[in-house]
Parts: sequence; structure tokens; C-alpha cells
Amino acid sequence: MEARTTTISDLLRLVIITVMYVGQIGDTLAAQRSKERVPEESKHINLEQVRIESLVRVDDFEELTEAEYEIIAAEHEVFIQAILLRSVLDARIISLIPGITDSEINALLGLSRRVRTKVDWRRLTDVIGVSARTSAYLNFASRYAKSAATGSNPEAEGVANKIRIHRANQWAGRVILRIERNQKSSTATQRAFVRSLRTTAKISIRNADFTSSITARNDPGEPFQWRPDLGWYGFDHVAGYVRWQPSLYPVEITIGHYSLDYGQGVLWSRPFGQRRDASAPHRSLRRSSGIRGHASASGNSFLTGMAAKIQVQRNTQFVLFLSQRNYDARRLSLICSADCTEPGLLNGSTAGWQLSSSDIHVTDDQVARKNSVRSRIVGALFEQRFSTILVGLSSARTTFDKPFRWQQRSSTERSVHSSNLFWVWTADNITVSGEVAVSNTNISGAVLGAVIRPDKHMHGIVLLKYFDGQRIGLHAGASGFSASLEQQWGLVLGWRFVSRKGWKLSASIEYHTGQDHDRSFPGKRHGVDARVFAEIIPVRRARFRIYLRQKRALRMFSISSSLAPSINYPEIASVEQFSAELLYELSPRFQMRLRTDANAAMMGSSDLGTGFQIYQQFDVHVSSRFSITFRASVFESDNSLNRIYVYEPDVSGKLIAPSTSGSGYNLLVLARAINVSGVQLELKVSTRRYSDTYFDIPDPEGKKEIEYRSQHQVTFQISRVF
Amino acid sequence: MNHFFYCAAIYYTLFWVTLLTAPPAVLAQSMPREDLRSGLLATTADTNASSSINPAATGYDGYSSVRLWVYDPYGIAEIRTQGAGFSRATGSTGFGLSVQSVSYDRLALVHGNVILAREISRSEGSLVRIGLKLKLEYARLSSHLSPRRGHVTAGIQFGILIQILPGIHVGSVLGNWIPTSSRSVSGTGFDAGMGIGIQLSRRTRLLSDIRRTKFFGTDVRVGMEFTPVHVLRIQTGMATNPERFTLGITFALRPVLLHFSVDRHNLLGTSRLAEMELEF
Repeated sequence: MEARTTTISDLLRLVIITVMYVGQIGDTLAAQRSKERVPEESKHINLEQVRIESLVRVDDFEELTEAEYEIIAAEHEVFIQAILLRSVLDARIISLIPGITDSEINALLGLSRRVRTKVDWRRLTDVIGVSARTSAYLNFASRYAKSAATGSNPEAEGVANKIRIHRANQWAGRVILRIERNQKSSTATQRAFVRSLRTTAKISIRNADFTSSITARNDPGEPFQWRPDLGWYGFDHVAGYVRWQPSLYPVEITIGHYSLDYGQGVLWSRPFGQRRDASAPHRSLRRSSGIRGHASASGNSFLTGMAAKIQVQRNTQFVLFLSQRNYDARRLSLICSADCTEPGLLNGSTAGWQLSSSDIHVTDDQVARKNSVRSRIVGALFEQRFSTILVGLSSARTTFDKPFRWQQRSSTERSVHSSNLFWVWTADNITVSGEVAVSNTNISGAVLGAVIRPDKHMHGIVLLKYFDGQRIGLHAGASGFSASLEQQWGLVLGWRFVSRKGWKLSASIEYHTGQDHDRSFPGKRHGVDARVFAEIIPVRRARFRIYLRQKRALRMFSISSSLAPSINYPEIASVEQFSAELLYELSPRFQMRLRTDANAAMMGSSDLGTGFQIYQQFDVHVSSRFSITFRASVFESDNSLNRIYVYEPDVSGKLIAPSTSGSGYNLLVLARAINVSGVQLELKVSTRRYSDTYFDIPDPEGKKEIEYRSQHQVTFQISRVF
Repeated sequence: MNHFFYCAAIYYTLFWVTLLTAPPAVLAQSMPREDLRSGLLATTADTNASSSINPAATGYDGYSSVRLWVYDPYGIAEIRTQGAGFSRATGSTGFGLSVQSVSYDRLALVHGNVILAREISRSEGSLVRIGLKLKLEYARLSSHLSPRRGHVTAGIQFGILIQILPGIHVGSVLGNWIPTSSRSVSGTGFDAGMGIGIQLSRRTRLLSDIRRTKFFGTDVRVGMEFTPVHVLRIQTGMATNPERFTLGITFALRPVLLHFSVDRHNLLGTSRLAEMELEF
């Protein structure tokens, strides 16, 4: 019996544990390889060597969208390039650290002023008031900047081995080609009935003075065709920019697609707005980053044309921007009847044009909508720094060639004049920021908040905000505000504590109130959203996170008719969520990630619904050049309120957070081969199977709903850094 | 879920007050014993109350056991449930086998589990075990139209247990039932669970897990084990789906262990479990 048991155990070991040993084999191979001499010519930069996820800690709790992730990826790339070009502390380089706050910059520069000599990058990571994320970037910088300064590689093997030091006048860049294939099928009939292919190409190049990037994409079903009249240049979505930032002159000129990141996102669109981060609520107040080049095929909040920034004096800058761009819009089918009282609508005629919800152009209707409304924007911005206070003022005039309805507005516009005033006051332990935006003559939004740092372990935030969906200034994506409320007020309180061991505890609560957007049953809504997040590091190799969230909303709506007096109805909605995650590093080449999420939600008188998700993930770094990620997950959600969004590993530069609609399981494998003749190859294969038939939700444009039981995705990406 | 959190908070406040002020004998609730004996929750989590067996032999390093049990769900006399299990630990490898039968009227169900587990890493204070469980379910529904026709459904489950520090375990299981027949009585489904076990003190352990099972959906469980004297263990706990409180008591008269537990449901009543275990 014992012999038989042993045989079975051995078989099990062979089948299951092979994966574990692959890492060790990789170690051996890597050790052998490191002994080989690497020719100087073959050394080159590989920006993907350090994954954005591991450095920035973009994790499941940060709730980034795909567009935001792309922005972070772009910032990441700019920062890495910058530290390769310079090896000394420099305010400009520090300001390029993705997500850095004003207070952190001040803390870092404060040290620089005190020391009055060149500061070692490594020393910066210990500066009080610097967040873990910024520390991670500075740690990264300390390794690379040192190699740049000495011209030698401080590490015997690994990432730094493959770095070529770029001189200021040298060109560097990256080319990416990504192909995604998506197939949905019904297992009942064993028939694949929906197949689609998405192709994305991206090129980024830069040197010390120029930065340029362009992205082109064809969504499923979009042909490769050349129709300049539709703005279709082979690819349907093309976005890119060129930036000239000469080191000799105090100007910065951006031509192409760009966005203005000034203020707190009330007027000019910015990627995060005041949205809360559960693990770091104080980041709800964010630092302006200036003019951002836009090279993403997603998103709508960008300008097209030219922006010029002139540094008039050391503390004064002036920005002039011009834009002429087209929107995909559809003609509103709403016909205003005789008793129509909404402004801007013409009796008996179509009410105007509205931004299209879909950016896919396959059917004739969708193609007809492409670029159907044109906007022109002329504006200027002025920013002045007085010692610890920064004040900015911008003003712009937007005109449309057709009556256009923007986002939540109920009326159409042909011309809007919008302005904003923003400020930041920074002291040792407090930063106070704010913004007021005006659309025509009405206040459309305002934000006032303070980040408090009583000591190096704590951050607190108080934030008061106001937003009016009816008076939105025609540029903002209004991130951080409730889309279903019109005139709304909000108050955010948050606190974060980070211990010496790196343990984190943060809690935040938001209260908001406003008029509901639902016009059929007008009413007022009050909402409370509380979050608690804890990260525990019991041992160096383990990281345990817990996240709790409770969201409640009370909506009072009234029903009135000519026959009876109006009646007020209360409706209560609530969502409770629990998440726990363990990251465990078995060895430097083998990591495990276990996570579970559960929620319970109720809307009005409906039954309590629950959602559930668990995954197990293994990251095997077979060698310094090759890695594989496996993930298996099981999910279940009773209804749409119980959906759980979980980030999924993907090829670099792409991020998806599929929702767990229905119930089923998901398996994925992601393989990465880095630096194969200077090329990075990535392949992701995933299969999702539902226990019941799953329906695609039909869109308002009449697309038929699709019934399927399984979904298979294959993504292949090839990129080269030069 | 919300209701559960409030209940749990009140319940455990009372539990600790009771623990500090009264003798342990007054503790009146427990959680199902199989979760406690596993010490790792997740790798042993199972769909059925008593059919689990400790796959990774956690807490049983160095010896093996045979178990026999009788389960009386909700006092329904017509439902008869009994089972047997065997587990063996040899070094860093664990092997387990269990069978449980359920009979009710014309329905007969037999569950079988085969478990293999392996320790893949051990260092100071930490260890990692992985386990694989093969599940088989035989169901027979006799009727006038199709007399005595049985169907088999198979399932597989993969589990991980990580001991982060001495006394702190985190475990996770994922599994799927594979249909072998379109007429399978219980159909297909997914099993998954994740949990944590913490040794709060020398005598007290806290265990909690969340799991989704084919039959019962999502269930959150919290439990404690208290060992006032060496030969006596008291277990107490609560679960959400269905909402219930449990009490268990174990007499560890080694090599024989006797275990009795009750599970109280608001509407359905009380379930009882009696179990005898022989260690060797």
C-alpha cells in the first residue's frame, strides 16, 4: 500500500510540480548565460524589463481605465528615458515621476537645497513625505542613473545588463504591433459564430528635444482602407502628436492630439479627476502635469491642433492652444413637441447632435456618424508661481458647426465660452488646491481641498466639490463625479497611515447629494460611499491586502399626476464589497497571487444579489528573458449590480478589467519573451466559459444581442525598442 | 452579507466577553468540524458537510487516520447520510480518500473524493502546499419511467495552502464539475474558496473562509476553536448561506478522537454530526 501511495505521489509530483522546477531550471540557465560576455553593441534599453505593474503597483484596487493605464504607461516611458539622459537630481526629472505630488517634489527639492551638492538618487528614497510609489521610481532611478553616470553597469546580471546609455542627441523609440482575436461560440452547437480581429500599431520616438507618438487601430470588422474624406487612413482610429521641447529655448510646442492637464479636472479633462484611490485617498487631489500628448485610440476628451507653452520668466508660463477636431455624433431622434420648454430645442425639428456612444465604424450608419460634427477651440492659459503659491487662469471659446449636445447637458450649443481659475498652496505639512470653472456666465464646477501630512507616516485629505452637469464646460470628462446626478455637492474625508514596516491602513468616506438625472421620475439623491483598505506585510515575501467598501444611496423621487397629489417614494440602494488578496513570492522567479472578492447588492425592492470571484495566479520567470503567467478564476454574479471588475494580466501597454457577468470560469496564459534579437514577443491566450448562456447587452443603436457560452481570446504583440 | 457582518460583530464581541468572564463550558456555538480539523480551510473545503478529508494532512504531519461519521441533516429522518475517510501522510506528501452516501426517497447520491497533496516549499516558519482533488458523484433517481438509471459527474479541484508565518495560513481552491452525461442530476458548476486561519493564542484559533459551491452558492464562514484542556476542544462558528450557528466538541482520547457537533438553522432546524477517528 505504501509503495503504491509513493508511486501515485511521484506521478503527481511529475505532473503538477513541473512548473515549479521550470523556474529553477531557468535560474541555472540564466546563471550560465550571465557568464557569457555580452557584446557592447548588443546592449540596449528595454523599457519593458521593469513592468509598469510591478513598479507603479497598478493593482486591482486602483481602478484604472484603459485610457488611464495608457497615460501611466506613457509617463513611465518618459520618466525612464529622462533618467537615462541625466544622472543628477533635477527638478524637471523629479516632476516626471508618474503620480508624484507637489508636496513630494517640495520634500525632494528641500533635501537638495539643504545638501547643496549633487544628491545621490538612492538617498532620495528615504526622504520623509515620499510615497511608496515615488520611492519605487526613485529606487529604479538610482540603479539606472548610476549606470548612466559611470558608464558601467552596477549589477552583474539582470535588467541593467541590457541598457545602452543614450546621449542627449540620440534617438530612441519603440514600435508595437498588436493583434487581438476574439471568438465567441456556443458550446451547445459546437459552432463558433462570432469572430473578430482588432489590430493596433503604435510607434513612439524621442530624443532630447523631440517626442512623438502615434497609435493606429482598427476595431473588429473595420476594413483597412484609405478614405481621407472620413479621416480613415488605413486605420480607422489614428491619434498622435509631435512635441518639440528644445533645451536651449523656454518653449514647448505640441502639434497633433493633446490634452490640457491643468487644475483639478473640472474644466480641462484629466485622467483621474478627483476619483478616490482606496489605498491612497489623498491622491484625490492631483498635481497638474501640463500639456499631455495624446496617442491613444480610446477616449474622447482631447484636442487636436497645436499648443504652445512659453516660459516667460522662471515662474511664469503662458500657453496658447488652438484646436479643430471632429466628433462622432448622431442626430438626436428627439422631436420636441409644442409644450417643449427645454432651451435650445426647436419645435418640430430634430434637437441637434449628440456624442456617439460607440467608436466602432462597421455598419453604414456608424460610418455616416464618423466625424459628423466639427468643433473649434481657441484659448489661452496663464500660470504664475509666487513662492509657495501657484495660480493659473485659462479661458477658451468653443464653437460647433452644428447644434451639439455634450454629455449630460439637456440643451444643444453652438458656442460656449469657458474659463477656469486654479491654485495650489504648498506648505511644509499641508497642500491646499482648488479650482473654479465657469461656463458662459455660470459656475459649472468647483473643487477645494487640502492634503495634510502631520508626520511622515500619515496623510489626510478633506475635499469639497461641486459640479453641474447642465453647465459642463465642454471639455471635461467629469471624472470623479456621479454621472447620474446633475447639480451635485460632495464631501470627501480620507486618511492613510503607513507604518515603518510598510504596512498601510487607509479609510475614506464620501458623501454626495444632487438632483437625479432621470427626467421621468425627478428626485434627489443622497449617497455615502465608505472604503477601508489595509495592506499587511507579515514577512518580506508576502503581502496581504484587505479591502472593504460600503456604498449606500437614498433616492427620493416623486410621482405626480393631474388626478392625485404628488407622492414621494424613497428608494434605497446598497452595495457591500469585500476583497482579500495574498501575494506570495516563493522564490525570485516564482510568485503566487490569490485573491477573492465578494459583494452583496440591493436596489429598491429587488432581492439581495451576490457576486463572487476567486483567482489563483502564478508568475514564473523562467529566465531573465522569458516569463509565463497563469491565472485561473471562478466567478459568479447574480445581476449587474454584483459585477466585479478584476484586472487581468495582459500584453504590455494594454489593460483590461473584464467584469464578472454571469457565472463561469476563466483561464489565461500570458507568455513573454524579452529581448529576442532586440524584439519583445508577447502572447496571451484566454478562455472564458459561462455555466449558462450569456448574452451581449444590445446597444441603443440596435445591434442584435449575441448569445454565447464561451469566449476565446488570443492576443499577440511584437515590439522593438531602438 | 450586510446582516452577516453586523451579526458577526455582535456575536464575537459577546463571545470574547463570555470567554473572559465565564468558564469555557458555556460556549454554545461552533462551526463545522471538518473546517477546523483541516487547519487550512480552503484546500479541504468541500461541498458536503462531512465528506471532506484533509488533503494536505495539515496539522497531522507524521501520522494517518481513519474516520467514520454519521450525519443527520436538519433532523429529517428520511435522509440518511454516512461516510468514511482515510488519510495518510508520508513525509511531505499527503493522500486522502473519502466516500459519503446520501439517500432520500428515490434519490441516491454517492460522493467520492481522492486527494493528493504535496509540500513544495518549506523554510523557516513558512510552507507552501498544493493539492489536487478528484471528485466523483454518482446519482441515481429511480422512477417509473427510468428505473434504476445512474449518472456520474466528475469534478476536479486544485488547492494551495500557504503558511505565511507560524500559525497563519491562507488557502485557496478552484474547481470545476465536468458533465459526463446531459441527464446528470446535479448538473455542472464551479467550486471555489479562499480562507485564512490564525492562531490567536496557544489555546485559540480563528478561522474564516468564503466559498462558492455548486449546490449552495456563496457562503461566508467564521469560526473559533478553543482548547481549555488537552483532551477537550470546543468549536464555535457561524455561516451566512444559509445563515446558521454551529457548536462542536471534540474529545481527543488519542489514538481515538470523538467528535459531536450541531448546526442550527433558523427555519430548517438542527443538523447533527457524530464522528469517530482513529489515528495511527
